[in-house]
Amino acid sequence: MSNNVFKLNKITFSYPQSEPVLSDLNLEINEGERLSILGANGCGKSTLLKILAGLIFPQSGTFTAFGDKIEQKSFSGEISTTYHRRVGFIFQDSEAQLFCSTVYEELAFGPLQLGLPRDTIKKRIDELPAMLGVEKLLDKPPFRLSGGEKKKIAIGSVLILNPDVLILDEPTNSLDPRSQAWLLNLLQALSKAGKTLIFATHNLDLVPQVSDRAILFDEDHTIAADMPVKELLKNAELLKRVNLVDQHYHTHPWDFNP
Amino acid sequence: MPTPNNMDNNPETPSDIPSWLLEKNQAGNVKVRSSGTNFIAKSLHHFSEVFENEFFCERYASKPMMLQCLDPRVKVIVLFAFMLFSAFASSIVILLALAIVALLYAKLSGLDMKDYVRRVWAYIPLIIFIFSIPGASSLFTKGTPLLTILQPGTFGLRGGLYFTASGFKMAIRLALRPGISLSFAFLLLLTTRWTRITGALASMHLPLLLVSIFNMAYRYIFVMSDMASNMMEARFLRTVGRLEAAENRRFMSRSVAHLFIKSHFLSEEIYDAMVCRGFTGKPVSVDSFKISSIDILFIINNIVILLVLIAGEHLF
Repeated sequence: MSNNVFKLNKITFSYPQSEPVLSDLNLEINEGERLSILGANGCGKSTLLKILAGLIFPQSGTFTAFGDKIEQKSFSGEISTTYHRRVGFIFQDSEAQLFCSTVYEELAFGPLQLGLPRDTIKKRIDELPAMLGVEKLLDKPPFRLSGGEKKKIAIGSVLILNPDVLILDEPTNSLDPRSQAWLLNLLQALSKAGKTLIFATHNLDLVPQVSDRAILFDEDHTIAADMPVKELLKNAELLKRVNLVDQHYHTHPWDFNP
Repeated sequence: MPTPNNMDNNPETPSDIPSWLLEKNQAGNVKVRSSGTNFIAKSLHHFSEVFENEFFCERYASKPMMLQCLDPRVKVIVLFAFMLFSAFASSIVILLALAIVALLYAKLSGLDMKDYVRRVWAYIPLIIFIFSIPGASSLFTKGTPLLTILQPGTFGLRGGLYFTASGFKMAIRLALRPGISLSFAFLLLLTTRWTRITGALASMHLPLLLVSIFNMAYRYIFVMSDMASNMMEARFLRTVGRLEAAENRRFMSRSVAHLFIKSHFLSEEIYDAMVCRGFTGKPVSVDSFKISSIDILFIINNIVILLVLIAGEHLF
């Protein structure tokens, strides 16, 4: 029996009046996998993440998630809420993800929308802030927080749904080194618990620590490589060819020690 | 090996940097005319401040005072009833009584009375009154002379020019009505968390689409005003001296267009973020509403007040 979480077969996607952002894309992501999506700006990483998150739908090809074919026409109601409960998406811009009056309401938004029992919501909100280190922020309006605090709340607001798959777009953006280390530990713990983690990032220092497999987008929106992270990061020629790094890029043996 | 802090040896230093960029800036002593006060920038800043401190931070909504303790549905119904009544009331005495009721509730709810009165009465009602004054003259409204401006026969005006008592009453009524509506609207907004107001509206079967639009507008009005304020600041930092009025207008129109495009992208992203967390268009609140004995007492009290005012409307 296949343990595919996502399967994309010949996926094509283009925004109105634009060239295709994804073209004939084939990709399989397995349960419990840690995958990084790499590529230069504008190569299609964020579009792929949005497809995986069930926000946009490919114009051709087939997209299968958890064994079911995902199609725009049938993706509503129960199917949509179940999907979003299983797949959590943390946006690059935390500002867009925080829209409630207080941090408490922000954390409660997802569970309330998905109809979780109020006792469960309360229990989760009682426990989660301690893990995030935001206990004192619960009554504050999210827009008053610092960049790092906003990111933590954005992560918490998704984690509270306990998704099976966590998709993160540039997760270390606006985090200071200490918060980055905190996030790294959290992601490693989630991975050990069997969650599927998918990242899009430009932070190549982070990649070997949070993922085992990487896919690399070429500038023509096709996949240039799909291989173990260590192999990919050592292939400086390939990274240069897709315009992700410059001629001074190099790795050290200790980069790959978690 | 590259040494990042050494410009001379760093091969990454672009070779085509213009020479003037590497020279010391000599323009430090150039004197230019000041760009003067910036009305729009100041207004935006003030607008952000009010929203930030009084609505978003729920400065008054969290106080355990009279209106704050009530069920939001009761507050919405009662305060809307007062607004509606003010639209139909024609007696100035009754309209003044309504304004006093609002002031009384503001006091009992712990609002800063000076700020409250200034925000409600100092702008819109005053402007409406000033603009209505020409309508109170004998040119438009006939009636008993109250204040003579031009004696009969001046400039060929046979009856002269004067303000009439009925014209003045009309101007006062025109100013009082929006003032009263604002009074009750402010009371509702300042003493109730927005999520509770929209939750109450949803529970009263207002279309969910409308409730969602209210929620989004409230959540992002601050973000947008902050964005606009940042744009003004960025422009101020890059402006040396006074700009022509036409250039200022061009900047403003470009800023508005830019803000509109940005708000479009932001709203799409926010909606996506909401959908990702299970949003289907139906607002769900953390709070659950329950009518208590205080709410029932408040309703009875206000029914009595309204009945007295209705009776008064026929008397005065």
